[in-house]
Amino acid sequence: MSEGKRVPVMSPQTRMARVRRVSRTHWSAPPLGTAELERAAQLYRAQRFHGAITLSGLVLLVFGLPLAQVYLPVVSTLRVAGIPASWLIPVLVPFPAMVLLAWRQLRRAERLERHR
Amino acid sequence: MTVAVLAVAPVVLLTLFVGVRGVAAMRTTSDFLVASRQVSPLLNSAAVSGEYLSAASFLGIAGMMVKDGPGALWYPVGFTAGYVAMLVLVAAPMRRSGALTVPDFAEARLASTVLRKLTAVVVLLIAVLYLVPQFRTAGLVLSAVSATPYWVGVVVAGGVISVTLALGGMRAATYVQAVQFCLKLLLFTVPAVWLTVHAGAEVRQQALQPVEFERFEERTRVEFRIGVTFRITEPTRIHRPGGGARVLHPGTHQVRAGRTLVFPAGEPVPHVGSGGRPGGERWQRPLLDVADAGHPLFGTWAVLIATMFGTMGLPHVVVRFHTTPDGAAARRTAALTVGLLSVFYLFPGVYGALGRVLLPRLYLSGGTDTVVVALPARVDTGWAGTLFTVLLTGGAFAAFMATSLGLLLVLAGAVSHDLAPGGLGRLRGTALLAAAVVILLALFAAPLETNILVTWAFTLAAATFCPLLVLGIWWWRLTAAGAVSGVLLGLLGSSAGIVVTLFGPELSGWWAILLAQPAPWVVPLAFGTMVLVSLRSGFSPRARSAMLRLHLDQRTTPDSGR
Repeated sequence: MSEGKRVPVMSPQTRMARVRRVSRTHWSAPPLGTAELERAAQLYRAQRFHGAITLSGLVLLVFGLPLAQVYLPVVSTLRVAGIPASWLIPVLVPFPAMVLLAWRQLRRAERLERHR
Repeated sequence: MTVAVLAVAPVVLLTLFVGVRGVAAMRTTSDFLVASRQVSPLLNSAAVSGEYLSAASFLGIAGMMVKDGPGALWYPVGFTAGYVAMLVLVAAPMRRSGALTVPDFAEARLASTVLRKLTAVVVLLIAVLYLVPQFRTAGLVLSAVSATPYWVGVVVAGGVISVTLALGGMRAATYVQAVQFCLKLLLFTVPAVWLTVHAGAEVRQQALQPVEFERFEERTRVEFRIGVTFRITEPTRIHRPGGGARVLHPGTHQVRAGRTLVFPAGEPVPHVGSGGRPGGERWQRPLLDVADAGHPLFGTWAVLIATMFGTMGLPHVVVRFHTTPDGAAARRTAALTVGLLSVFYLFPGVYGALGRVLLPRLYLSGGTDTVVVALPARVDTGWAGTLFTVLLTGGAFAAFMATSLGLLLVLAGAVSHDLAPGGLGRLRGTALLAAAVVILLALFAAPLETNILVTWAFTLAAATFCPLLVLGIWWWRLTAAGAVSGVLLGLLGSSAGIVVTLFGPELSGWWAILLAQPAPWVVPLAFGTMVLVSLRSGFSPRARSAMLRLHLDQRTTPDSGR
């Protein structure tokens, strides 16, 4: 037992991994095939189209509500169950609407990927 | 003291327990930074929400509402809208890039080391700006509910999260954040209902009929935890707690931190800042008049732009999407997060409305951030009030810790993965070191307003990472030169605005609003710069396929394997 150096026993993969860990060369993915590229382009265009619709809805909702509070005088006098409507608007309108928007967008995006 | 121990100990022990359990499962950088990408959408969305509901959401919105009126309710709208935008624009393609951090993504998409280093520096800045107010609020809240000095809360919060993170990495952070989301939701909603019921019909009625806080209705003792300058318009009698009365003459007066003043009943309430007193005009129309510039609609839009676009670019939020197995799961995470946040954000308004009636004096002492934890004791002086104070303090502490965990993680990642790459050991060491630095910064940050620092972080994210991610994912012509110049201009523009607001001369009107909340001009500026410079610089022949790859729903998503 006393002769020679003690050598750690490990699989070749582990040894390679340990050596590699320090070196940091830029990792790049293998190039896409023509069919994959075509499919990616189709998905990109479809997702961009549907995404733009959801985003327009979101922008209208989020930036339109403060505008409505300024230009609809009825809002500042109206009360719902005793609570001023102008306090309820930033809470009860945008959150359910955004949940709906998100759900719709998710369904759309997933269906696009399934069908193409 | 008992309140602090009872509230904080369970949260701290739970956090450490989960952290220690994660030790054995960690072998590589990927384990540390993205939990080996094995987190399911539901767990991940709870973790995202847990991480996102910070001190600003748990305490800040109600506090701002007491100070500035119900316009503060627009903040959560912008926060949540950011996740809808993230779902549409960022979540799935970002995950498919196979990156571990935002700088990783920048390098993978645009093959530029300069951009990688630059974005790592921006991550550092955002994380520090966001972390300091978390620790600061931890110190303030603990000192508000018990007699502990400010530094105790800062050191406890900083110590626990750095140890948890160093031990358990992202996996521990994920479970801690998910558990703390459920905790926070429970500890926020139940006391809200109890407070509303227990406050009584009269208080509820007053809460819904805002009247300006003009005169003290009862003898009011105000403890100034931070220094405040106020303005009075008519002679006001005050008492010192030790006895002795004097009359303050009209004009501005400064009160040093740590002083206590007692205002007798019937005395006029001093003005702090130029925004009017609680219950005043601002309560009639809930908009945000940023910097009291007199343009409430534009001010509200400016805040919505900063919060919505900023959320899309916050590095600690983006990195959570990398922990899911694939792009589709990342997208589901974003959608579920919108739902979870929407439930939580139904409640801050309740605390704000009750706080204005029951604790308007916090507006004077600059302590409106503590309104949530101070309310139960005001409503009930018996055991029930103490119990709910404990619950809310525990929830608030969970809020700092969950957010700080995520921020410290991206901070450690930026330093020892992107700037000076090292292995797992260095990542752990960096987490501890970074926490120590932030604790030191936070010890001197007590007089700074949370709001300014968080606005800075959000605006910075909105003007740098948001355009980088959106254009990087959806516009193949983006070049490294364009991205670098856009990020640089965004960084300089947003920082210049905030620095002028903090240290520059007093401004009014449009200048004040555009510098205090620079998002409306700096975000378009960053987008525009990226587009213009990209169009004028040559693009790589592989740019188009590098972008399209992000939109391909492969069964197996590549992992960079670093």
